[in-house]
Amino acid sequence: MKKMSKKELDKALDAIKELRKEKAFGGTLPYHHAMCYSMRMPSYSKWDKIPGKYVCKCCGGAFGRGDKANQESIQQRYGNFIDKEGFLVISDSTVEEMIHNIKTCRDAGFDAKLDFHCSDCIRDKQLPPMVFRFRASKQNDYTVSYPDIFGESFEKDKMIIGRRAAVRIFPLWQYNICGGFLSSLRESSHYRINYKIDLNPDGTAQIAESSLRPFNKDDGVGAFDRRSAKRDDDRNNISREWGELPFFDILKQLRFKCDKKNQEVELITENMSAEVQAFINCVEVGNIWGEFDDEATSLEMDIYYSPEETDFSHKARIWLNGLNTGMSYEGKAWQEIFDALTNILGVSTGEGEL
Amino acid sequence: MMLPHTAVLEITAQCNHRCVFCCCPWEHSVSKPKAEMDTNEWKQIITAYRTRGVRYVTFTGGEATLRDDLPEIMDYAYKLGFTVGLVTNGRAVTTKLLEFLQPRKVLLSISVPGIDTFKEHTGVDNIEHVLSLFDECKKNGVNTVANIAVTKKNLAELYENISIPILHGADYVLLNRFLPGGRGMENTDLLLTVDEINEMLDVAESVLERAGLNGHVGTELPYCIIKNPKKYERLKIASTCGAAKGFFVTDPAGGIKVCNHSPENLCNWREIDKLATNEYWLRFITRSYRPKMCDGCNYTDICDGGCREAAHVANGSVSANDPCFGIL
Repeated sequence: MKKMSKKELDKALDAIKELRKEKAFGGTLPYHHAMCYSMRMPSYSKWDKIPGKYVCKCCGGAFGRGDKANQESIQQRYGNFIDKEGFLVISDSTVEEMIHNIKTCRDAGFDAKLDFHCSDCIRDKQLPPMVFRFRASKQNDYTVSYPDIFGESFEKDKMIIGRRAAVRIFPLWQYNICGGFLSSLRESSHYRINYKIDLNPDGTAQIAESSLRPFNKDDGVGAFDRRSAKRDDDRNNISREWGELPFFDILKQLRFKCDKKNQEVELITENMSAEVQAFINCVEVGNIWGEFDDEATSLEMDIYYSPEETDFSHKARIWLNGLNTGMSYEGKAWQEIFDALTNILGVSTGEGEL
Repeated sequence: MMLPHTAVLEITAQCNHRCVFCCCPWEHSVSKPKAEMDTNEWKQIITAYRTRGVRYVTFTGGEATLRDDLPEIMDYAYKLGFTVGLVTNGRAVTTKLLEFLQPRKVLLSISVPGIDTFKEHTGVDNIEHVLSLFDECKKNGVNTVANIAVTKKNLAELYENISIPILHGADYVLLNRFLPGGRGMENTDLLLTVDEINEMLDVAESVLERAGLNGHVGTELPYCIIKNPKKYERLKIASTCGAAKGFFVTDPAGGIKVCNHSPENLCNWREIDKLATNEYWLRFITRSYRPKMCDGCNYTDICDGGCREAAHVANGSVSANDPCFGIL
């Protein structure tokens, strides 16, 4: 291999820089899964130069670079965007997920915004750089800190926000969950999952172990039907099939009362944990399939999730407990995300309240 | 339970390099997994992870490309909707494999631990082939990362070590400072000092700036050792540990670990829901591993005091000091 001097290397690197401005050499790199270590936080040393103009929610100090958010600065620092040549650029998956959620919250018709803290408050008062808030109901504001602060007491945030709020700081990968679930609530007039239940001699029943697993095309167990599904390409079908099933921990705890005489099954609500109770409050038993007689040992049953009929705040707790929509974005959707990012950075100056 | 967004799959313990910095625990403190999982079991794992919130899978090893069924398993993951990455030393990568990777948008992370010192680091005289791979990937539309383990031996040629893969088409640069672990435990003299770590950051930033590229330091650095954190525009530097929070690892036999460095096998993947109550896992989730030396530090919100598993392996505890502060 030909050895290059430092001068020759520099000249070649300069040429590369020029070359990368051309479409064929420009483009993209999702880095966040390329290694065994995760990039968890942006560098706070650059935080005060974030594109746009902001007022710190804590101290009221102004920060930000002052200019309007633009593609180039976002590329270099915090977010994902489609560059001038139409390439997808991913530079920070955590921001990606934040934007995802705000966008889906807004799409779902809920107020959502980001509050910011300046770097002094982040460092000195150990506050999160961003607080993601959305209005889940009139009674409850749900607040999420970014980056995720594992194991920290949530009272800290509660104090910052200064409102009566149900607050929980939870791991990053659940952000995605909440947005998708909110969206699905609004998209669906009902939401149905089919389960097999095992009947007990004492007239009670529980969801069969065989149903507590991912959807199986062969036997149909775990299949669901959601109206108004917006996207139906192959890849998203896969995502949906695999995505929205696994709150198994709660499902395992559900108990049913079986009335064979009247051919009815209903959920037992007494003596359940708060988590299960919250779940029960927004679901109902739907159709029952199979022979429901004295000999029956199992049935198939639909459970409906009916967002219009119950207080949303209960549902919000469900996504905290682990729904996964398995959403993925490609192509045009990224442009939508970037548009949302620009919009959010443009309007979220820390002024006003939700 | 929900899992971190990235699953690192150590699909085999076999390797065709003998890297002096290798951190795979089976090269030192624990025995090599006896039975590696077959194709179907890996598919089952991938399916199970999909339903628990994982969205990115990175295949590694050992050397992942030594498994003949790698394309089949990667294809399975891709079709389930995962974004797929592959970490490799490049030796067994063929044009046919690249043609397979391209339509599946697999991001290829290729190890380049030295140019002149490549053989010294890997035991194999293969730098020409590795560099030609970057060229071929660029030609075939496969995105690449130049994955550079930085040691005392290659620090002097780091400018070249970063520049040359870029000139051959690398799209991104990942720097991993050498940390003791695995075979690396026998080579602790390769460890960088704090001054040398800062030199590494400065050199990387200057090359990246020149080439107009971005990169980052994979192994988290104690924030307090970075002399001038404000100066790095192209190079991202992490100071918090992503283990169990952003990623987790499945070893060749299906054991779950918080990270590649970790010698702790927490459970088999079939019992993965037990992680929710596993004390070791929760320690990482809740960041309950801060070293005593960090008491009173203002940066605890943004820093975990360096690599926790390297501290564990080298200094005996996940809350021990990062090896850059010395090995006990």
